[in-house]
Amino acid sequence: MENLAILAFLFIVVVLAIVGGAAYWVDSLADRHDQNGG
Amino acid sequence: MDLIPNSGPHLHVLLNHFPSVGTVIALGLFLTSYHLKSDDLRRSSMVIFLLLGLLAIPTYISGAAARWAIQGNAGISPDVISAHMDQALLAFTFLGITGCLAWFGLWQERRFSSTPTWNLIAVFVSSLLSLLYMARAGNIGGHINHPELGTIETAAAQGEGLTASVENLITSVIWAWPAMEAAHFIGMALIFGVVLLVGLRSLGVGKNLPFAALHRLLPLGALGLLVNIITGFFFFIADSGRYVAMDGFPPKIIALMIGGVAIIYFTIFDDAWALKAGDDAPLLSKIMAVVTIGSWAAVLIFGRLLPYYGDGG
Repeated sequence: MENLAILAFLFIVVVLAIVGGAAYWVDSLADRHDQNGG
Repeated sequence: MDLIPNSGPHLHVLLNHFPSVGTVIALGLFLTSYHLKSDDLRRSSMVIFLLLGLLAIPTYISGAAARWAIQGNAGISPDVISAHMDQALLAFTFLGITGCLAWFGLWQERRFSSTPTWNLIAVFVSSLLSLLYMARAGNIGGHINHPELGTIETAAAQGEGLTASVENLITSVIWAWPAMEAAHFIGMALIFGVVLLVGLRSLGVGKNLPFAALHRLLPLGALGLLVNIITGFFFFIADSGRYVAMDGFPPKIIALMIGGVAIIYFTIFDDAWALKAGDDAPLLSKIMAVVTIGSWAAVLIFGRLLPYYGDGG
């Protein structure tokens, strides 16, 4: 049962890391554009 | 006479032509836009790619419903169905990727007044790959119930192909389903959170926020949708026979289509984008806000009700 919880938790962490990384990248794109006066 | 298809096979025969013919049209518009140097034409092709990416969802689902309806009938080869489903899964994947890339290109163009070259190249390559797999899926699919076309060699027998591998993975790894359920809920929270913020601003809540500030959050909602389409399809592939028999499943998918199309309005339309701090949104924006919040609420409600809603009697 512990293994199930740990593996499921790790899966969620990986999904969140991918989504978070992509969201951070898109947000930094918008930041760079706004700083360039766009 | 049924004007509206009411069975899986009927619906699939109707829907399955749109993605392939539509991709040829969208690709044609996309390439012509460069010849004519027309941004409007290119944007139109990107919107069509996005719509086709959404349409791929009911097309694939109706295909699975058709499989369960005709499997076991005399003259129907399970191996040919299995080979068709494998190619359809690849076609669905690349059409979905094309739709995501097209949406991101449209979002960037709205925000930065241009779409980067890498995005346009990626849309082109991905759409070509989806066309390739759709042609293969269509060719094999034509042999499922048309003996006049002759026989066709299939690479893998039933239970050995890509679809079967995905199905086995989900059902044999004990933590896969609950972990993906959790990811599915997080994805839903991202979608509904962004939809609610954007919709409420259009309805007059937080009027001191310019729409551009909320437009920046749209990729977060799109990422949530991507997570949910991926996890949702893993659920569907692992247990398609049960899903296609559920009464609550078609309304969920219809609401998903409406909600997906409605998001295009908030991504690219001028009257939404032009909303400055303190502005009251035009009537169309308010209607679209109600439609978007309502349809995503329906996705959530029907999704949650699936196990309780009945299985088609």
